[in-house]
Amino acid sequence: MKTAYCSVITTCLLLCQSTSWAAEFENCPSQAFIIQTPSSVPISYGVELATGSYTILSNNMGRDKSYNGVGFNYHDNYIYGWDYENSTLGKTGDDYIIVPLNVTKDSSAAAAGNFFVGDIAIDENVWYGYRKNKGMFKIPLDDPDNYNMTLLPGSKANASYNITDFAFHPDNGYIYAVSNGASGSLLQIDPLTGASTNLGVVLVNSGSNFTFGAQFFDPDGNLYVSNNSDGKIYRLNVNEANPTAELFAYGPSSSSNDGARCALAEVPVGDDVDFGDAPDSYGTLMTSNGARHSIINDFYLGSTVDHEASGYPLPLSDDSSDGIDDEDGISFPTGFELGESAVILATATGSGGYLNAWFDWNQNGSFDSDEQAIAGYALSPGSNSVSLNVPTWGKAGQSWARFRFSSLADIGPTGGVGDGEVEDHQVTITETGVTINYYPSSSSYTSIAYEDLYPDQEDYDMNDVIFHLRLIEYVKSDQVIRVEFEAKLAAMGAAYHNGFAIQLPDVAMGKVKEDSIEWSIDDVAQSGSPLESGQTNAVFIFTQDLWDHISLSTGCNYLRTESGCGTSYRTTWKMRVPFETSIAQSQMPDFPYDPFIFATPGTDHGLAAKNVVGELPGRKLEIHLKNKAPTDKFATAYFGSREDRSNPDAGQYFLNENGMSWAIEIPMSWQHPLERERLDMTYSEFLNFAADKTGNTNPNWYLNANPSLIFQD
Amino acid sequence: MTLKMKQSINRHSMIELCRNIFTSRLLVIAIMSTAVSACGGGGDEAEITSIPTSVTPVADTTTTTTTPPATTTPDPEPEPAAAPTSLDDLIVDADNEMQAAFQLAVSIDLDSTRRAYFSLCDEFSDSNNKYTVNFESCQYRGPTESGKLNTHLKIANHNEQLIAVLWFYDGAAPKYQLWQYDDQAQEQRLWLN
Repeated sequence: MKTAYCSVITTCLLLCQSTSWAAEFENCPSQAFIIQTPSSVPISYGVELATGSYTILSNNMGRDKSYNGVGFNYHDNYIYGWDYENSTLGKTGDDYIIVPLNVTKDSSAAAAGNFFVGDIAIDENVWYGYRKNKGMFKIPLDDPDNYNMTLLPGSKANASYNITDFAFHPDNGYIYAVSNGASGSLLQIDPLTGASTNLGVVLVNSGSNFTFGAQFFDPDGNLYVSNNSDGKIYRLNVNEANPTAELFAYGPSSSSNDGARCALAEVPVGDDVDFGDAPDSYGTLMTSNGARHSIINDFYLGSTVDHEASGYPLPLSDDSSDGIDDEDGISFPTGFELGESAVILATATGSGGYLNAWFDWNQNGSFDSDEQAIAGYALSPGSNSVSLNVPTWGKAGQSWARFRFSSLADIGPTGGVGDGEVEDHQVTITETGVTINYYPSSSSYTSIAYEDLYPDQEDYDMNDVIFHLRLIEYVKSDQVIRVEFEAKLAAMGAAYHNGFAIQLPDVAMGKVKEDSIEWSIDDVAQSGSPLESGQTNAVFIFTQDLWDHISLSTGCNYLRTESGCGTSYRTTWKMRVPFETSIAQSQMPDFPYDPFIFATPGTDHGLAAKNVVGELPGRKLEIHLKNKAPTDKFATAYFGSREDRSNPDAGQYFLNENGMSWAIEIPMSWQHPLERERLDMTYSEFLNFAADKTGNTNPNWYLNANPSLIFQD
Repeated sequence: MTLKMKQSINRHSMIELCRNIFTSRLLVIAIMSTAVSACGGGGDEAEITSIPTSVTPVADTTTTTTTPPATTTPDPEPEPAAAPTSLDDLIVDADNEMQAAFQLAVSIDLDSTRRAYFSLCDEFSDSNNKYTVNFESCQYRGPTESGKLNTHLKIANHNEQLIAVLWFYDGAAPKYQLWQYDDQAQEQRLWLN
């Protein structure tokens, strides 16, 4: 009683000095408040939970001792907490000054000393404080002239658990806390009695013990707990049956830590946050706790960083869709050969940053714990050459790597970080000693443009079907061990139904390791072999009918050949073809191999085509680049029919009497003619190029178009 | 082709290029130094070279302005037939596949057998002979074997300038070599030693 009396006197004296309250905080703010006391003086931080980024809100709270057990009061938008200097409850407005309150304590409260565990209820305007072995206490806050602190009956016996903060659930009335120690258990606490129910271990530490000094809720039942020693913020959802905590973000660390937050406020991503681009299985979207960094000035990889509201995994990566590629800080001057070392170049803007990197070596769609290739590598401003080892147990093929730059040396592949940048890159992993030959290059495509009225010729707008194609050969010891195709449907200016395929001339189909072919359409893996049966050579069917893969805008008859009918979307096929028996480079066909279209079986392809074979032509009708021999499925009756002047004995195929073809190749993503605009009018330089058999005249004819006659999206 | 024709084509190419620099958004990021000076513009220290370009090789451009036709040896090739005016009168040789690409022979023969990785790429910038290469835009990549690498590549016609890079794993400075199409040569070749 004597202690309580002194306390009342003290706080009264202090209160008398305070003539008015600071303004309240904004209504239920989304940021979390963390009060730390690093050198006996409390400092308040504003923390964005989504990334852990924080700013100092005030380093002068008017006190020289801790301010703990704090909670944000939803009812009046003030923060309340335990003022150690005055051993009473304090109240704080937006000037961050701690104002002690005149609290009348019962004997138990007066004997309990200071509190570092506390929060304010949602469904009542009451601060609750807990102290181990002392019990649960409450202070109603409705009457500013009459604050009473009382022990909740029976709670002393229940006060056996070791926690450093707790938080009120947004709607179920319970208090939750994660306990401290080598493992963290989730406790559900009844505020009326202080009785706790242990809901199980949610987190196990591999290093030092946990001390969760700051704990907060969001409206969805997610509990965020901040570990004092390393600032890591973990998240779990208490509404789940068996919740487990995940590392969510990296916030400020401190030996003394307490937090307050309006539990009814969502945790927003924020406006200036950078996300990755890898598929979401790697943790990219916000809903997957994707890797994300608050953007701060002059601290990132390369020369730029951009912000997103969430991740944009390929193929919707904003790097390609918005024209700003911020994945510019990492490059690969060497390949990634299994069992060998490799070198990456990392360009840093800003000093004091660390690089961490993960490679999905086994291509299982996630960055596993043994796939961290670079750990806490300190980057100097400018270009840094960093070595890493490619494990022997990796798998050759296309995979993903994630590079994270931040002021924190020890971070994981997912979760929020308060600064820096994440860059996700596709990487090519090969066997040791493998060279890679790209046609036309690893960043570009060649265009194969077809007229589809064969064996007649028509308007020469060369846009009935246009594919953009990239071909890749993997070679070891002069033997081709694998090829890859990437094909994008770029235009379709015809009504006929066509399929698309690639033949490997002079490569027997038996040389293909058929059961190891991997292929996808728009990154959706396809089952079933694309290798066509009944062929001598290897023939890969991409589709029997291209019309199955397009959707046209209203008012458009064709794909990307009419003005106003543009789209940035390209149906994309990817195919990886390993060989059972490797093929000597000298035996491989030249790029671009033999890509061709064929009549979709059971569909009309015009009278001329029908008359030659006496039926709907189907697979009997193929259209190839000039002097590429057709497959076994082709009806040789077409040779010499109508306008065709093929001469198989001379190795001449798919040409008319003037030597002109039904298909041409242009070794870039060609800006093709509009519907009905002839090739010679659109690209006049083609004429002299084609007329000169040396190819030396107008070799770059395809760069010089009549801009009014080409299709533009 | 006579030299006169060549000059005409070269001049035509430069006119086309100048026009394209202002009309083609592709060329905004793809300016060769020769092209800039030929158009009367100024160049930056850092020149970005990229695809596509429509310039003729540098050596040819120089020849155009310095060598009078009379001093050259007459071209023994006969004059070609009248140029086609449209697809209707275009005659294409039956064996001409009209592919706008050429063969490039690559020969690497290093004194040392130390481990190195070779890249041949088409996007790079050059600032004071310090190259920055986009290794995500390459025609070829692979390790040397005992300091050697020999291969034949098919290169798109517009890739008239490429950067060859040898990257060493022992921390030694990488080796860069600029390759340019040589329209006087019988065979396009890249040597690195």
